[in-house]
Amino acid sequence: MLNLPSADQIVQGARSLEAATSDPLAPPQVAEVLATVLTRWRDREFASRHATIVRIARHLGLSIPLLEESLDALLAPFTRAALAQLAARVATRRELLGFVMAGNVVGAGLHEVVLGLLAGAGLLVKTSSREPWFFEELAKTLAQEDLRVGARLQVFNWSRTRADLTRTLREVTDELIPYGDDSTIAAVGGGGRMVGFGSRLSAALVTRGAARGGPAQQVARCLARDVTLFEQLGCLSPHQIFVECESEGDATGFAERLAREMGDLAARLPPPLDLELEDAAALRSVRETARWRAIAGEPVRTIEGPGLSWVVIFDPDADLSPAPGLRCVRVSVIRTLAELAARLAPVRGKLEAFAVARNGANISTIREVLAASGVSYLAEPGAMQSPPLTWRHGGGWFLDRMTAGQ
Amino acid sequence: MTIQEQVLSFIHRPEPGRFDSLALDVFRFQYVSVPPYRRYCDHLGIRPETLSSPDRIPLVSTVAFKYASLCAPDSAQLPGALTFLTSGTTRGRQRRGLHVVARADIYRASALSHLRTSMFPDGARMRMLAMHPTADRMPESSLSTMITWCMAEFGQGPSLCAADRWSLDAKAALTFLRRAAKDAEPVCILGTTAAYAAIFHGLAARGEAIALAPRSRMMDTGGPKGQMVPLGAGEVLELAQGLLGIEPAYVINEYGMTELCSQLYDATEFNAPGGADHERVKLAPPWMRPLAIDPTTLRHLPEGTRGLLGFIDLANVNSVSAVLTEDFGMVHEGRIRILGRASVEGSRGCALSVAQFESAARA
Repeated sequence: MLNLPSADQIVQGARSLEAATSDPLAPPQVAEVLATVLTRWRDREFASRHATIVRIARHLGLSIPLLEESLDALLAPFTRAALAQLAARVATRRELLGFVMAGNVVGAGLHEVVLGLLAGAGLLVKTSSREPWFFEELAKTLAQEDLRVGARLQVFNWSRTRADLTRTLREVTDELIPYGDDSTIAAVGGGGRMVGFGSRLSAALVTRGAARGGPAQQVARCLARDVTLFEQLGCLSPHQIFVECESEGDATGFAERLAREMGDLAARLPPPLDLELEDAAALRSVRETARWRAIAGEPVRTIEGPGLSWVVIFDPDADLSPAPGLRCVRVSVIRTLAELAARLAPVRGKLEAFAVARNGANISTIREVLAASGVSYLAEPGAMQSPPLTWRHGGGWFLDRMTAGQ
Repeated sequence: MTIQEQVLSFIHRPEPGRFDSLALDVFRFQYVSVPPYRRYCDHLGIRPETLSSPDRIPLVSTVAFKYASLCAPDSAQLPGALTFLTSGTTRGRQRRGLHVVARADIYRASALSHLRTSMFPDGARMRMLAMHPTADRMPESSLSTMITWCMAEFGQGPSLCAADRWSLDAKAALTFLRRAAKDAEPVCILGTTAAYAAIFHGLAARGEAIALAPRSRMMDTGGPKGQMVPLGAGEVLELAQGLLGIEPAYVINEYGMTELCSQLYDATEFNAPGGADHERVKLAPPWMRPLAIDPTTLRHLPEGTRGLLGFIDLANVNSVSAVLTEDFGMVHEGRIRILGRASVEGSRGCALSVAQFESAARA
């Protein structure tokens, strides 16, 4: 575990950041450094990356192949070209930003960290006790590559119970940006100078025609990957897949294909060996509910892997609702896009992303329906965990601020 | 002798050595008579003739009671049958669980026998105060039925039910308690922890304490359900002593649920002299076996290991005896430590969790 900082060390960190940001760097210059660093991190043989993944795997009980593929997906969009393009858009900001990171998804927050650095801000990052290593190691790589850019990122770790240290972080930064669930954001405290990325939910749509025949297999494979990466614990992980079709047969067929792909992925990217009791209880409850609804004659079907490794629940009439994560996904049926909008209503305002398998369907109509429900990111199946650098995370407020709406 | 008579006989004259064989007989009966349970067992590939130990009897999750009719067909129409509904308030779920108790006499025998052991081991009969509606006011509540039976069996002298399905009449309850204190007569109070919280709040607000007579006792149940700021078990003990003069050994928490015909009670110096632990544990009656279950494998966990609590409750003979709860706990030498409700919290961090979704849906 990392050393616990004192309040003085956090204040000192903020002073160092102020000093570092008083020495302006052009965004393209920062983009070059970031491109070099993130290219290294995309390499599975890179020692810091490997050591980080091994630590996280041990601490959280996640499999190394799963973490490798998840991190690959997250880092894929951070190409030199994409960074350069973003650098051309950012508005320079000499300010100190504090980040309180969530621990459920390795690297969550990277998009905002990169944006902040490109914009010339100084960043003070508090990592989660569950996953304190990724940003710590990334900051070291950054400092090794370029001292001036590296000096703009300071990483600390303390528990959320240390409200005094979090208060200090609030006091020394111009704005605090917490990630995570409502309790995390509440623990940080309310009030001004704080805008959080709260908890969000994602899903997928398979339009008519994409659910059967040759395309369906590929769509199922890609969506199984979207579900599986990060153990389905991030805001970009789909919890439910809506299949547009006239007959339920297409949707059940798709659920079966998806289940096969989930099984194949579980063999290649093993699920956690030991689940925490609370997680296992949540998964058990979801399965037993589906099982008993089926026994009672409801048109619900459960297709599952061994133990609690993964499950596909065919629940044709279900509204969108969150699953417990950990490879638990529902497949539902819609007849029209208007019906989809109705099914999303319970989570309106809490939606982040949708994967859309459209097979020729008109994307602008789909985009309109999903945007009206609050979806800010549409992805191809298989690409959900690789949002572009211009991802409008949480509705895009941070991106807009850093690019001044450009 | 029918299987029901065998269970009734066991409740009246427990023979621990017979539990396993009776549990297997009860399972065989339920497999045949409860169609949804049979379908579930078939789905798991478990048939009664293949079982030689109750350890492998399939446990039915309490969620099943929300969806399936876990009793013999037409049981609810049998004379004297009782139909209970779960409160449906936990986590804001709309659907309520349903438990048909075809033989009320077996439920009554189970409830009263363990109440006698746990709440009235001294053979006392006394004034009764119910702070939860009795069965005439809330017939669908299994707790109401149990309280009604308790008042009839162990009550003596004045009694009062100070609640209906909508509210607690705290003023009437306090008047009753003041009168008992003035008469120096012991009282047994029965109610939810939420009802006690209201009474404690009322007394504290007035700066009043009622000194109930020695041997007064109270049973609280339900834990945090219905409370804005839940009272902890230690606080209940403290407030009962400070505001009602009830000795901690006579403050006994009950753990029960609609889906089970038997209950657990705290072991204290009053009902288990010399056997009460420093930290409160609960005791099941001899016709109920507590289990800690691994939610991943659904196998029994070793003694003292944290898991989901499960029970084989022979008193559930006409529905399903092997029940898996959504409560965490551990079992050691037959003593049960309740560790709280599984949260179905699931994913944390930036993903929306089930609990957040449900609390937003309630709002």
